Amino acid sequence: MNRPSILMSLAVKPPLTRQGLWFVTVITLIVALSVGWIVWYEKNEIVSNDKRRTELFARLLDDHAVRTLDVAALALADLSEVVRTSGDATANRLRAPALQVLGSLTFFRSLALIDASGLVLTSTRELGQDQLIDLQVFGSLPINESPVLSRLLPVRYLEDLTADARQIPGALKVFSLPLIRRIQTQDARTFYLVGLLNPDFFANFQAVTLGDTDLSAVLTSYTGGIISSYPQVLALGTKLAGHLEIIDQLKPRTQGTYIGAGASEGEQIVSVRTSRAWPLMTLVERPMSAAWNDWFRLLSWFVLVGALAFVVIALMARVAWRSAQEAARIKAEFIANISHELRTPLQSILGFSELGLMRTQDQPRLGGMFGDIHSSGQRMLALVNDLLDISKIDSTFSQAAFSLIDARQLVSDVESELAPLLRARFVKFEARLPEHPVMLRADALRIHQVLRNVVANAMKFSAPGQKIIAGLDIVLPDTLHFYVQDEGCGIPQNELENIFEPFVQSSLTKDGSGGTGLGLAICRRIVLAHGGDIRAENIPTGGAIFHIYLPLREASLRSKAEHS
Amino acid sequence: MCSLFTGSRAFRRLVPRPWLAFLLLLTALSSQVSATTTEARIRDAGQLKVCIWPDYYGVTYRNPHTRALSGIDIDLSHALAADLGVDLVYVDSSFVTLVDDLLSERCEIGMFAIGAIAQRASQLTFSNSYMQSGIYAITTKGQRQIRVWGDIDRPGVVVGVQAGSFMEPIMRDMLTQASLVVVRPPMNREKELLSGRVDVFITDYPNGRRVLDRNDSIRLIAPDIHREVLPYAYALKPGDQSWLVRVNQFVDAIKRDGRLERAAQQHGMAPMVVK
Repeated sequence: MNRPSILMSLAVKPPLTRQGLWFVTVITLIVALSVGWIVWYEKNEIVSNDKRRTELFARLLDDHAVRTLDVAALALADLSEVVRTSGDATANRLRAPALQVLGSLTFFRSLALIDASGLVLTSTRELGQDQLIDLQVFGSLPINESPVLSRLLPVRYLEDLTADARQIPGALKVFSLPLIRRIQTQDARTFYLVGLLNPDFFANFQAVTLGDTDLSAVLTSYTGGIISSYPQVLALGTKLAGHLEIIDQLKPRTQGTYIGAGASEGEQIVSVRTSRAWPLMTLVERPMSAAWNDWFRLLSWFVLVGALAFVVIALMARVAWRSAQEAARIKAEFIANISHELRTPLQSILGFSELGLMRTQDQPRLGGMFGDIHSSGQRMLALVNDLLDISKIDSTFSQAAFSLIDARQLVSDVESELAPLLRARFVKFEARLPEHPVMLRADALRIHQVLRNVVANAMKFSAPGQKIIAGLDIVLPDTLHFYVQDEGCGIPQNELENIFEPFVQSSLTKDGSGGTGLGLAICRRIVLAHGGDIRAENIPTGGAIFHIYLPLREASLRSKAEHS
Repeated sequence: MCSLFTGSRAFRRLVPRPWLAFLLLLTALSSQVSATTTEARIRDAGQLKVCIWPDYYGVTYRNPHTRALSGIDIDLSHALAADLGVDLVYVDSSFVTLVDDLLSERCEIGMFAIGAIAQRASQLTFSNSYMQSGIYAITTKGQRQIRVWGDIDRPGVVVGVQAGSFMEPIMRDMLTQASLVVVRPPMNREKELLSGRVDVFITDYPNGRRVLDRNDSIRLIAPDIHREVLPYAYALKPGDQSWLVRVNQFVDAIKRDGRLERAAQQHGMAPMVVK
């Protein structure tokens, strides 16, 4: 007997309601895990979408800035030709086409032609002509025909450079972005064509492109000088804090996206592009906090959906449990009713067949027929009684009276009850009982019924001269163990569990040895109702052993409470 | 003529004498009215000729691609023709040619939100006003230093106005620190603004709406209180009091029955409606 394994299996085997609870728990866990996975996946999706979005906007804004400067450079190139071919009449002949450029290209604020000494020869501004400009203000000047984008100047027009530089408090701050082209005439004279670009032109495009999104954009020079920004108001002309670190992030590429420091405060999702054609850098960024907010918003929806799923699962489990209970009750009620209805006509059959048997003692053939009717009636009565019994256990066991009894007495009672039958079959019986009383809180009649059934079962399989051993011991501090062992033919291995199912008999007894197929099923139900377990196993030396485990004292009470 | 009608006994028996006199009077009056009033002339011709300026966005605008007319005064001119029970004919006009068009009777009414300024009022008759507009500032979304009306009049700000518009004298009086630039053709206010040569320009509501609808980078700034309000009305040829009364009846009716409100809502002119 492998006792520990049986006990272990007894311990983990849950009652029917626990199986349902496990099922609900597993489903709930699956739902919770699914929701958790989706939430985690969505978090990565949000960040990755934001990266793609900032990249897209950075590409758009960079492209716009580059195209604008390309067109501006083209316009300066066209005007340069006028200067080159006009000789001394340059000043007069340049103004009209320059005004035309001004009217068609709205990013030009003004155009002016300056000689190498800084004298403004002609300008689209009437006021600006003949003024002397310090060429140093532009920083580096072009050395060949390639136009140079100068640093941002804090003036609206060139003539403002010569005006009083004092800033009036509260005055509007206006900046210009000079694009300068060098013109070398055939007589080796040098001119500079200066186009002042409106930096707000880039900010306007940033505003239109970004719209109501929570993205922000900054256009700077390579050295980090801010040219335009939207929607945050950064001081134009000043250097972007941390621009060197941003450039470092890109190396050796010209574009990149990362999470870290940007133009705005706090952690940002930043996309940066540096233009190859012009010394410009475009940043588009979104605060990481905004991405988290998106995620939290989504999270709240998922939590809501998850909670709803839990509620639905709980409701469905409750409905299923109620339905199962109701079905079991209806089944038990049906069996009880049908059993009762079958027993009434059986009394007549049994009574009259017994009468017939007595009156036909002198007619053996007829008597045999009455005998067959009587024995068949008896079998049917046993079947009906068992059916009634099993239905009673299902429907009324909760009302059974539990009492404190000595388990040894139960074995002794069964021995006394079955003694005549044992003698008649020449089967020996040995009771192995402890010396001290073993107190058990249980329904004494039902446990007695279990023991009687199991012993009667053993007797059925015992040949004359063989022995049945019945005994009890305590295997755990709170578990009582009855066992009934015989020396019969044993039970086929694959039937060890099935024999406890209703209407299932061992293949060895199917030849009609008198069983109804309900005896062991009744036993199992009674034992389960007590919170215990019953199982069978073969003995290697021959025969079978039935183990009945019952919880002692408090365990019995708990079990009763559960079943009620 | 009298003897012709009264001489017949049978006729006298058919029509009693006082009724006859009334009928004669009515006939005489109606023949006289049809010869002199604009309304009668419209009824006789069976059509109402309305002068419109087909470039007036939201008021009387002809879509250059579909040639379809739309705007508040297109809806209201249909309503006027329906009230008179005549067909509608549009005559292309403009603010420059309107006076000539009305005086030479090329059209019976000018319906394109015509500002009732003194210069026009001296040559034309205006109906009761049905819309009015204050002045508005237009700037770009990239210009974040000018957010409210109060930000305009400060040092360094350049304000643009269209040459000859009624805003020019108003702004000249209003601005104390900002400088005023009068924009003349071929330059236009929108390009001056986008290039940064002006920081804001001042316009009326219909033009502001037009610019806003055309350019996404434009922002409109409304003053806290409209101190300068110009009424808009329908222009008529002077000298026909009955036609003026009829047009005023129409203006009162569209204000009362919600047609003006509905048309204004549909074309984005609701803030201009005179209740």
